[in-house]
Amino acid sequence: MRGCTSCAVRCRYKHRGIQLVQHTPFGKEILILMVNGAKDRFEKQKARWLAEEPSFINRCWDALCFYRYAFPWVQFSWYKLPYVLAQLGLAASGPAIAYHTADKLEKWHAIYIFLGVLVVLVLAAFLSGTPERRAGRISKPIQTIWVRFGNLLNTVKSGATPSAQKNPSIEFTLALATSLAAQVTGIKQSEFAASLVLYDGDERVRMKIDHRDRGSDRPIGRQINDLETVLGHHACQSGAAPRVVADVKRFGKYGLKSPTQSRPNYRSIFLHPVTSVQKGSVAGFMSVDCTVPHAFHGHRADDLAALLEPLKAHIEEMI
Amino acid sequence: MVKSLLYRGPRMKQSQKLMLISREASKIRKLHEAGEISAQEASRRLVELRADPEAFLEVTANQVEHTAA
Repeated sequence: MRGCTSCAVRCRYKHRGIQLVQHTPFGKEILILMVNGAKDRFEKQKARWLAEEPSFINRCWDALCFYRYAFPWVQFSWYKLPYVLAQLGLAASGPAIAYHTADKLEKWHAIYIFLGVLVVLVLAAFLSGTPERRAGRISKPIQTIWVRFGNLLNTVKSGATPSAQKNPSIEFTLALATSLAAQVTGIKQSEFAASLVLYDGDERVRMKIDHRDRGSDRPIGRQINDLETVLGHHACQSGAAPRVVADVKRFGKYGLKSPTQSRPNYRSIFLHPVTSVQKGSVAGFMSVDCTVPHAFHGHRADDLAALLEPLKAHIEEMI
Repeated sequence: MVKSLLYRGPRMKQSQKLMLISREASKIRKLHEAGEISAQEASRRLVELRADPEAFLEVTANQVEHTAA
């Protein structure tokens, strides 16, 4: 704790990193501390994200959040209301009839039986859909597309592609990445966007977004000078391994700050560092982002890492 | 999901796992490109990799050890 430099009043807040400049009755102190707190939160979350050592509680929370956003049946829909009411009626009918006709059944016993039957019905509905979800996860056409796409890319090497065609080629590849992400996650394709962010110069102090998926209306050609808040940059610095950002909101205000100064609407990101074939070093990263939080949780990230591989290889050939 | 949450042993980091999956997928694609495996075999291996990445990576690691020995 440090006192204010002008009035020497001991501050109620714990200082984090930056020294308090002035204590004013108009809340400047609080403003400064809020900024410091946001930065602190970002740094803490970033370190936790890079270390990848979530606690048991964090893993449970992530799983719960995933189920909250992944399954539309959790969300309200008028079309599903009759089904829900029918299930409730089914669960309540037995205990209600027994309560009204048999004198021996207590009110609380009837409620317990109703809740028990309801839990069994919900579990049965969840389990009956599991084989369908598993079968839908690995579809034969996608496997064939993956193999044939690899064949196709093998015929389009960088040497054979005119330089004027390289940029469109990367944009089409990024558009395909959004399609694959939509297929893997089962989320609408309009919720996804993909971009390629590359280092500008050998100093690795600036990045540039020159490529977005074809059809995207997000800005391109903008330079990113402040790399401290760019998670993709930190992923590149820690190796060439793909990483998943479950929810950028977790990183606080700095996490929601878009590197291109546009208002970000994405919540989860799949980051895949790309290596330049010519230089042999990490040249930047490919990001597939989604407006739905926890979109790349668990096996979805595994699937995407496998399916995006030919696309990443093609981009590495083109840059 | 439940099995994964309750697992208390040494856990592979997600980025490490994704890296290995990406590498294995690359190997499968390159083997097919080189004509060493057919399209069906490449597809089958990719299905195995996606269905159970941990088991696939373990089998591949064992094969590498066996070859080295």
